[in-house]
Amino acid sequence: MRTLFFLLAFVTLSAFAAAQTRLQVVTKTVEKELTYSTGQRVNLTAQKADITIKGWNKSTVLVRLKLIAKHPEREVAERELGYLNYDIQTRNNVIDLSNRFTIPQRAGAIKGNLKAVYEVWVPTRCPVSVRNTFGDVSLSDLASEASIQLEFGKLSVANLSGKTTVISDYGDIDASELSGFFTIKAEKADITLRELSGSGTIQSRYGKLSIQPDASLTSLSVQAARTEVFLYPKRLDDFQYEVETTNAIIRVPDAYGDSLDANKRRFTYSASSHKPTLLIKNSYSPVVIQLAAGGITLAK
Amino acid sequence: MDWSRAIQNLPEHEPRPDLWDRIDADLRADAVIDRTLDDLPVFEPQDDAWEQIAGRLEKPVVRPLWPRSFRWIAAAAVVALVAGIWAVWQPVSDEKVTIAYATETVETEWAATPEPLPSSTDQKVETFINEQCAQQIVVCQKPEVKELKQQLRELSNRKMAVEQELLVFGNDPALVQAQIKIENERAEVTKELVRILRI
Amino acid sequence: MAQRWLYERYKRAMFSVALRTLNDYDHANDALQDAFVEVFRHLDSFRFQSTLGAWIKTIVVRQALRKRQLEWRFETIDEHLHDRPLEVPDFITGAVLDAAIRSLPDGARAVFVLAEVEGYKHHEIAAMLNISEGTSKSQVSYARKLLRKKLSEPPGGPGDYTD
Repeated sequence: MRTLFFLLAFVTLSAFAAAQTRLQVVTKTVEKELTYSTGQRVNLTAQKADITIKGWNKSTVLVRLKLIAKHPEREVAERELGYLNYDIQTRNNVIDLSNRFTIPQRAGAIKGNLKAVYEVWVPTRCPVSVRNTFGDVSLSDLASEASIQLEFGKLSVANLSGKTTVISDYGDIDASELSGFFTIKAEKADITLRELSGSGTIQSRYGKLSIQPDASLTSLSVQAARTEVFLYPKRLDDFQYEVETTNAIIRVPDAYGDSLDANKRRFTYSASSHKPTLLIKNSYSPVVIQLAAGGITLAK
Repeated sequence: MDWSRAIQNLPEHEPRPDLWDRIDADLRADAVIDRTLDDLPVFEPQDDAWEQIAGRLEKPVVRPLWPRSFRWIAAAAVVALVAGIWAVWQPVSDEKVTIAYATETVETEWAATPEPLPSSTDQKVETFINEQCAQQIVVCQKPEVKELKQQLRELSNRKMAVEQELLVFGNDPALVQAQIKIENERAEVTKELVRILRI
Repeated sequence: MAQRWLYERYKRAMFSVALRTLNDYDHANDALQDAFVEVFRHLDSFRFQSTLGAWIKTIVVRQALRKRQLEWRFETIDEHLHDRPLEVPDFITGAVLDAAIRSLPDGARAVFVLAEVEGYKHHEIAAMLNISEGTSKSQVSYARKLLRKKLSEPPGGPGDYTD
């Protein structure tokens, strides 16, 4: 019995011991400031990168790119850092930023962990395109065209007021203070839009969509399928509603139950014809309209 | 002349009596075809095809896809410690490049994570779906079921894509998280399909 | 060698795509060779935006289509109803379906294989074959119609590819 106990303790302890590894981290930081002339666009094509792009009121583009390699042995980390290539260049009217992995044949697979981290500052009115896979993207304070395409990872946007286009496959989206014109196309993404204003369309298949519209939202069209849709207006009377579902119900606050049809498949409500219209269509998943209580409660 | 009334009073016509049989037969035929698409035979190219290709390649290429050999890293709880920094100035470019060294401690995967079940459940589910579709052709023609099946196919392709990347990059946390997301989604879709087809 | 390994891994799937699209053994072999040479020359430009398999497949398909570029002909679709409902057996083998696919006219076959077997979207097929999306869609339904007819006929069609 004592032996057994001892063995058990030994196994448990060694499991703990194995749960931590010390890694050598080699980081190559590239910093470059580029002159910017009006009309130029920043084009960022990334793989496995974490990206932050911010608008600022200077007339230059500043790029800080970190290429990071990690491995328990420093030599391996140093060697593999060399597989991570990048490009920072102005071509005609485009400032091209990109990173890619080039693994030489003799090396076999990557043994450690490789990653790119971008921090980019651009003039507020500079158009930006971003493509990324398997990493987080964050954009803020831009007033021009922003188009973002991502697969997996997470997109956070804040205070974008130009023309924003997001295409996301599996990449969750968290936006606050999105205004101007926006188009969001998402599949299998959890989307949260806080203080949404301006006008735009959202297409979503699978996943979840939570919207907290600001009273200054001028129009919104949601075409969803199999997406749980939650709408949290501060006051229901701020908008007109045309909501339709198939194979799932619509839920509205009790006081507005009269505007819901008997099957709970259609909700048409208008306090005044001057109010902006929210069009929502969904199938196989419910649409829930609920008052935002006090602070913002975007339920998880 | 009341136009809309006139339209309402337009005569109705009967389609040919066997029209439904035709539609039904077409639907069933399509179901058989769709089901069999997965069983199409594969073919071998001619024996000397590789020699022909190899002869036309002059130089070696980059990025092979060997199975990875190393197995550590999971979620990273990080304690970083900067060991040294020095700058390398590149005279020709206005890029400033610095290299920094640090160490960090990460959690590795538990040695005792649950073993995957030894069953081939994925295949069983596929077989189940195919069998059910063979018996309940009408159910399988529902747009809902077609959509779910399509979804499952897409997810399986995605799964393969991520597995491919895992081969190159090892157990990279971002990739592992993506894999988890796909697997969970696949599980949801599969469960829903099975639920509909069981009824 | 890594190249050989990659070739061995994908050769059957890729050859089958080429063969089914073209229905011509020699052309399919040529397309496969050209495609793999292109793959190895451009492997470092593969950006992980799709799976490696999907990337190689698109190159194979493009090479296959190039072999016939001037010859694609799309039949006008015969909307005529059949005399009686077509009874396709509840179970057919992959080989039977394969033979039926091979019997399709060139254009309809290529579009059907790309859309229904390989899963390309209509706009992608339209771009590859330089046709409209509408043509791509209508050729698929035409192909289905012909397949139903073919599969409802008693067996005894043309033989196998490989020999």
